[in-house]
Amino acid sequence: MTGDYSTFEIEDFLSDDSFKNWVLHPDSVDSIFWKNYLVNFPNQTNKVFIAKQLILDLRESQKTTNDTQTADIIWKNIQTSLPKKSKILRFRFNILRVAASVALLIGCWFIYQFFSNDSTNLVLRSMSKNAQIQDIEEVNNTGKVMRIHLSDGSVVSLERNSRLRYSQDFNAQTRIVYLKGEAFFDITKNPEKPFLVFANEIVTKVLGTSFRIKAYENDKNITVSVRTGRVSVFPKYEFDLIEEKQNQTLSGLVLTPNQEAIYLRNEERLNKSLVENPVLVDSSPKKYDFTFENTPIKNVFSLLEDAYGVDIVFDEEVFKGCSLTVGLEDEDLFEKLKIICKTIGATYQVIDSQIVINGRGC
Amino acid sequence: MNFTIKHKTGIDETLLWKAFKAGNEHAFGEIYQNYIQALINYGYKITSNRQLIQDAIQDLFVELWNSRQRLSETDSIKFYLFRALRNKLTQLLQHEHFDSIDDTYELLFEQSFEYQMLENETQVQHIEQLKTAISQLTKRQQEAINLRYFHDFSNEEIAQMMDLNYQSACKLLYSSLKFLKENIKYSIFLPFIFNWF
Repeated sequence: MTGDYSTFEIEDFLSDDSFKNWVLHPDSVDSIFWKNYLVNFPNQTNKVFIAKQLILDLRESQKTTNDTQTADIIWKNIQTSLPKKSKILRFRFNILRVAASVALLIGCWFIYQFFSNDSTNLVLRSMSKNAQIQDIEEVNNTGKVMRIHLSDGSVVSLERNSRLRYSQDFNAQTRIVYLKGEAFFDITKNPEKPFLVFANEIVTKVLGTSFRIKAYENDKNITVSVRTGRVSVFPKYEFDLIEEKQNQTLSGLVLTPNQEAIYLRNEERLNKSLVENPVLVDSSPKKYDFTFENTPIKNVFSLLEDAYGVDIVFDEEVFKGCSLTVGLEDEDLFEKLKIICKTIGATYQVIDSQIVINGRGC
Repeated sequence: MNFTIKHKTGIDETLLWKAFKAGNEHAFGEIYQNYIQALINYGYKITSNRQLIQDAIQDLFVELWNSRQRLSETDSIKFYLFRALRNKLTQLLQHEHFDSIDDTYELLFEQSFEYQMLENETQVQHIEQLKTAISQLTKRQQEAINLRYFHDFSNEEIAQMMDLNYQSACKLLYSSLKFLKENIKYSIFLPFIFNWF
């Protein structure tokens, strides 16, 4: 943001990206700036609101009804002009090429056999084993949470009406489980073998952490919420395409403690948010002292950030006059925030996985 | 000013784009569904020839699919598609000398306008007034307004899309906005501005 805001004219507001963002996306972080602006430059109020209305009207003026008919026609045309898979296959499968490929394969096979020894012969081993190995399925029909101890030391707490499936040779080469329903996972760390949970349309990949997955077949959403460590979540169709599944680096949507991923099954979208009730990242007693005495608000927020592993966004300039004297040992994070905000005359919002503080300062 | 592509669903878009690049047809269809209406809307800002818009969008998506492996790891699919559509339409218009004066465009924008969203008659009147004023702008000015306030692109993105440098794009927008401001009686806003409080 540049320019002298105090003398902004309507057209200046209209052509400012941050201003437009505030009007079109009231939840965006830009709103903090503009709400403060109104407080600091009350004589600009009229212009701000005329500009705001103009932006909304400009958007409205550009609206057209959805032309689904044209959309369908174009899509059909696209479908017919795309190269057909069968066509490609037909081209490739002429006899010579097939023969050449077979010869090449046989050649490779011999070379492979020649150079490989038992310890590197993973592909073969898993191929031959797969023929006999069966899956184990644990079903929880009891009224209580069921604890399952896996051979790698990990513990899965399976909720009622949920099932967990894994291969008999789990932990031999990979750590993969399939979940239907809800479970809390406490995973033993093993950077060599990432732990993968397949649950409906999403895949969760971790190296060693604890987290909860809720993936009931009839639910609209799937959620993954993280207690400790880092977790990455992928839509299944995306995961299938990643070449190095056993890769140690975590990509996908990465979650840290107290964050959760929500997969909207209808929209096939993955969103990030905060868990309903964030807990202390390090639960050892007296690790954090929530007794504040004339503590600058900046320090209060950074303590909360550390303790709960969350991001708190606020305007340091605006709140620099604020301080806090209160004891907040027993409250949970959102209760703490409520009390703090009340004291300094502010409000808070959870936007994506961030906590945004709005207010006019002290 | 730094150029940052803003979009609300960044993570999903990156995943979607990756999946598409890897040959996932499902992702391809989703990209089409997500952006087709916006692309049609924008197409009409460049030409009023509906057939031409159809052809351009069709070519665009077919080429997109065929060249998916060569595409960059772009952050904003929307920006990518808009710029590609603009290039396509400009090319087609140059080659085939299409007459861009055609009333389908006017019809589409007039008849389809959805009034039920609007709060009261004053606002309806005001939008009408605004549309009349917009129609007096040059085509490029109209395009920039459409990109900025309907499709929510930033000044920098508009500059890149319309092959302008940042300053020229800002100037183009600024002059359009000034014209609009002077040519509408915005005093009629005042009665309902205060309803927001």
